[in-house]
Amino acid sequence: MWHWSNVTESLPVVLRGFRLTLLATVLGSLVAAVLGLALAIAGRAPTRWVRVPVRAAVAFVRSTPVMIQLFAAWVLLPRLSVTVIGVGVLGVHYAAYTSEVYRAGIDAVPRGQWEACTALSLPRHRVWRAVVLPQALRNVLPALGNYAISMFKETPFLSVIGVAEMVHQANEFGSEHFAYLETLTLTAAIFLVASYPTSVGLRTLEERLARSH
Amino acid sequence: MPPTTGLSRRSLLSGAAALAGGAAAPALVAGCSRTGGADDLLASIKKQGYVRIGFADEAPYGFKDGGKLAGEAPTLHKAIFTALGVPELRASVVDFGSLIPSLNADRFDVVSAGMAITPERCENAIFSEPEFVSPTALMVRKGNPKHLSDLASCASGGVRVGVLTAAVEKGYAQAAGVKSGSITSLQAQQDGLDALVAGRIDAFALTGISLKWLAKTNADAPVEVLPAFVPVVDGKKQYSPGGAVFRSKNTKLRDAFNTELKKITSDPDRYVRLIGKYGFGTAEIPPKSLTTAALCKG
Amino acid sequence: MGDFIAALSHSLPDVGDGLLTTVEVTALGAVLALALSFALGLGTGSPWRTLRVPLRAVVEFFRGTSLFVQLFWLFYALPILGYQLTPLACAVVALGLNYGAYGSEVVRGALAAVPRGQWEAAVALNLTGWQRLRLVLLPQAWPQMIPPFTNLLIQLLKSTPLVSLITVGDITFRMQQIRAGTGDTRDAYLLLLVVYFVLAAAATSGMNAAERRAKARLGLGAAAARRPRATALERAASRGAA
Repeated sequence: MWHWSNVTESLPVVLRGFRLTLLATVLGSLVAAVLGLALAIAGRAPTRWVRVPVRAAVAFVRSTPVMIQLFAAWVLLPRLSVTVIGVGVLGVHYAAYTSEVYRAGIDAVPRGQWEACTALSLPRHRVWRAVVLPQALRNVLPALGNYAISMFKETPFLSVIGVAEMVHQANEFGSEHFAYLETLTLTAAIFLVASYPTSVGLRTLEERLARSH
Repeated sequence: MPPTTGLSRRSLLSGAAALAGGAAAPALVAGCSRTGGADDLLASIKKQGYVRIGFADEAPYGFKDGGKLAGEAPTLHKAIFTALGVPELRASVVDFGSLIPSLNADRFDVVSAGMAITPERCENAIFSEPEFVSPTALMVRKGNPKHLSDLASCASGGVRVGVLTAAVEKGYAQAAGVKSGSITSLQAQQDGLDALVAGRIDAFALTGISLKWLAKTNADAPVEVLPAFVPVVDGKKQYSPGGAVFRSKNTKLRDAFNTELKKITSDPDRYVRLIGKYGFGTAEIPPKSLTTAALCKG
Repeated sequence: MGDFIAALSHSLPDVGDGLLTTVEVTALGAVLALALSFALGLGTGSPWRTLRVPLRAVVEFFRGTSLFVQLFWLFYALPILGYQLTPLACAVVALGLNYGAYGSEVVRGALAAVPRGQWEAAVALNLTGWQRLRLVLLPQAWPQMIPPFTNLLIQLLKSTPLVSLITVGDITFRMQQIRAGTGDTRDAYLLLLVVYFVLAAAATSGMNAAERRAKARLGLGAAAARRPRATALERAASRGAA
């Protein structure tokens, strides 16, 4: 039933997929981190014409499944490669989540800070860059890290549009060599080994940040 | 003390737990089964009056047409099993790559998907004699902009080829010299056409029969199916003959099946009457020289 | 587009089946996840190490491996070991285990957030461990659990398209069949997005209503806040004036 030869033969294939998994996670997290901030700021825009569509778009993206978003993007954007689409959809999907985290962080900045900025006649971009964001972002970091880990565990969805990440490779090898047991167990092990220490590390970071405040 | 209204928390919790157990249990118990057994399959399916078949929802080999089971394999198998005294087919759909694993896991008794007979598959199951031959073809964008004809031309042209996961065309492409990096594995036939139209791949390699059916369903799509060719692997021509698949120990069923199958393949009129509407004509009838034993050896 | 709508109306019973299956998978998975959340949440918060440590490992395992891999493992790998579950059972078990593990953290956190004084008072009143939980701690922890549980439920609903990959006939699966029959990929996927959006909205409003009711019963909700409560001073004043 369990053949170690399948493990040794499939390992290089699965690891090749893992490289793509990591790449997608890192790039997707960057997109989510940057886009999320932009969405959070836009969601607080003074004009309704910006605020309402942004909030509505974020709500729509948050309420629909990643897998269907991937399918839709795949068929609507034929010019983009599947990897770009994968990273883009993951990034946009998680940006919808991170924008809420940023919003909470921004809202937590005391009103007095905003009023002081008005009193000092600071230009808008200085208000954001020098006063509000540094305070808002400090506690956002652990949450962003958690979303990055979640994204890491959702990268297998990319296989449905043909991105050759880890699970795609595991499935292909498994179906060609009738070795599903070994390849899927190996894949699960790699996910666990990669994500568990990271989440423990994040939790310690979170506690340290909470204490230092 | 405020009066307790309707659902107290205790009953809510115990109710939830009972519901969880009650809901999950039948699904699990009914579904949890051991795999294994002895070969009295033919006798038992005759007794129960139905045989469980598995298919991959791949037109025109075995698929659901508006809820009804249709395609070359189910139609042929219905005729064969009826002749064997088993009037009913009960079908389950799985993806192509799981057909043989699911067969061996006892999810069903026969694979009715026109599966190509390959030596590797023969190691894990037994096939009937060939039901048809189906040479490979390429679907390309209309006008054949890359001037392709067969897999060898794809290799020399350095183009991207799409194949279905776990299907034989991947091996054919690699044997023809197409680099692994240029081969895209896709999940479904429609994905192949969409990818071709979108420009993600330059050619979609599948059996000519499947591609013609796919083009028919997508009549407006700017694609065309090139004439079929016979791929060569290690010097041997691959006619991609397809057959029914049984578990390795069900030899009695396989032999009875073959007897009835032979009656149909030796009668071209009957063959075309049964499955002509799916694109199988006299050209697809397997030559008598093509035997499963030889195909399994490779 | 016209062809697609025609094919859609032609296969309406299949589409209905698909929607029902999606709801069924979501509901069954959620029920199992809820039960496991409490079982694992109480276990990982328990004072006994022999219970806490192994259950903690179980929780970390299901949180640390991807749901996708768990589902595929149950469907493809388990039969090789000799046991098989129906596709639906695979789906429910995978969803239940995965979201149960996440839910256990919600339960554990909510219970830990109940003021210690409540626990001490319950001990002082000679309530047994179970009575403490049932009568004092859980009722107060429960309203706090609802918002994170709502989030998890929506996430669970959004993971159900996954089951179409292991041939469970949910709405995604049916839509893929219609797509294959019509060749109209774009409309099929866009319609799917809308369907899931509507399902998620319905689930969210349902859970919000449940939250309001749970809070009202504890006198914490908005309705209770609206009811004017006389301060001690006002009560004394009205008594004096009478």
